[in-house]
Amino acid sequence: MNELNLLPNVAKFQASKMKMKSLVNKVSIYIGVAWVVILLVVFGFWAIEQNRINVEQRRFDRAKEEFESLKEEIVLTQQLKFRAKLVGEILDSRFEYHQVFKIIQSMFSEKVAIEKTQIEDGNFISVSGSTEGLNSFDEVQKKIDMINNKEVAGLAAARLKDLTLADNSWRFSMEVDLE
Amino acid sequence: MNLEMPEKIFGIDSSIVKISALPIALVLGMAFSLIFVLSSKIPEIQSQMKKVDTLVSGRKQYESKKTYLMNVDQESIAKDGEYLEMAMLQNKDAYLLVNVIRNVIAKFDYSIDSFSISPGQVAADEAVVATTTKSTKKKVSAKDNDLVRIPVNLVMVGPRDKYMDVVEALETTLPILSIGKMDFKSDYTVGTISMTVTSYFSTDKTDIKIASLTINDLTLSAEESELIKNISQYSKIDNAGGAGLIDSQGFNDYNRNNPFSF
Repeated sequence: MNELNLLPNVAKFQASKMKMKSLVNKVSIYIGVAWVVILLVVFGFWAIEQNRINVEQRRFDRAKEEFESLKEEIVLTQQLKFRAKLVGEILDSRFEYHQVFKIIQSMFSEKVAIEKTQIEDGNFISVSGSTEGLNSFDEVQKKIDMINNKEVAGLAAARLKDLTLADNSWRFSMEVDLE
Repeated sequence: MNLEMPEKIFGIDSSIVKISALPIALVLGMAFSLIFVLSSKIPEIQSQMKKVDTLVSGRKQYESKKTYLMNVDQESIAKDGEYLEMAMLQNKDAYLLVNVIRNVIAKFDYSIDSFSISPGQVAADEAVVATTTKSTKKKVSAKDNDLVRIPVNLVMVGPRDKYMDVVEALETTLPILSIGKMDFKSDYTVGTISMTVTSYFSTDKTDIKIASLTINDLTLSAEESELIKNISQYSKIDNAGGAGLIDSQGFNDYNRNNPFSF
C-alpha cells in the first residue's frame, strides 16, 4: 500500500525552508569560525614577529655597544691601515734607482768603469764610462745589442751617443731606455 | 516586542531574506576584515620578518668584528704600527731629514757637501715623486690623504765605488725616502752625487666612523701585510728626536748695539 502523504503542500514548503535555513546557518557558522581562526592566526603571527623584533633589537644594541667599547683597538687598526695605504702609495710611485743601477752595473764587468750616471727626465739613463784596451769596447757594444734585443730585463733600448779613443782607452756615453 | 515582517521585502519573500541574513552579514564581515585588516597586516608581517633578518645579520656582524678585535695579536699590531710610524718623519722638519740622510750615508763614508731646502715648498703643491720613468706610476700629490712632502736638494761626496750602496741604503731606510733628479759624477776615487731627496709627513686619520666599519676595514689585507713585511726589512733611523741640524729651542738675541750711533 502506498504511503499516504497527509501533509498539505504549504507545510511541505515550510519544512524544506526550515531545513535550508538550518543548513545555511550551519555553513555560515563553520565559515565564520574558520575566518575568525584565520584572523587570529594572522594576528598571532604579527604579534610573534613584533616580539622577535623587540628581542633582536635589544641583542643588536648590546652587540653594537660591546663593539664600540673596543674603540681604542679600532682606532689603532684604522691608523695602521691609513698609514699602510699612504706608505703603499709612496712606494708604488717611487722610482727605485738602486734597482736600475744594479741592472746597469751588473751589465758590465770590472773592465768597464762607469763614471757618470744620470737619470734624464724619467725616460732614460745616461751612462758614461771608459774601458781599457782597444778590444775592451766590444763588451759595451755587445750589451747595447743585448738590450736592443730585449735580452736584459728592465731595459727597453740602448744607444751609443758618443765614443772617443784616446791613450788606448775608449770613453763612451750611452743612453738606456727603461721599461 | 514582536516585529511583524512584511510578506515581501524589495520584492523578495521575507522568509528568504531571513535565511540569507546571516550569510550576507558573514560575507560583509569577511570583506571588511579582508580590506581593512588583512590587507595591511600581511605586508606588515613581511616587513617585520625582513627587519628581523636585518637585525640578526647586523648583530652577527658586530659579534664577528668584536671577536676579531679581541683575538687579534695586539703585540703584532703594535709592532706593525711602529714600522709604519717610522716610515714617515715625525716632524715637518727639513733639517731633520738632512740629519737622517747624513746618518744613512755616513755608514758608507759619504758626507754632505752642501744642501738646500725651500721652507716655503713644504706645502700642498703637486708632487712629482717619480719623474724618471715612462711607466704609469701614479703621482703622489701632496694633497692626497694629508701627505706632506719634505724635499731637500743635496750634494754628497764619498768613495766612488760605494755610490750604489748609498743609493740603495737611502731607498731601504725608514723613514721612507724618495730620490728624484739624481746625478752621479766621479773622478778616479771620489764620487759626487747630487740628488733631491723627499721624505713624507702625515697626521693621523681623524674621521673614523666606527659604526660603519666592516670586518675587512679592520683586518690588514694581504698587500698591506706584505708591505709591512717589506718595510720591516729596511734600516731604521730614529727621527723622533725632532732636532735637525739647528737646535730650534730658542732664538739667541745677542743684543749688539749699533756701533755707529752717537
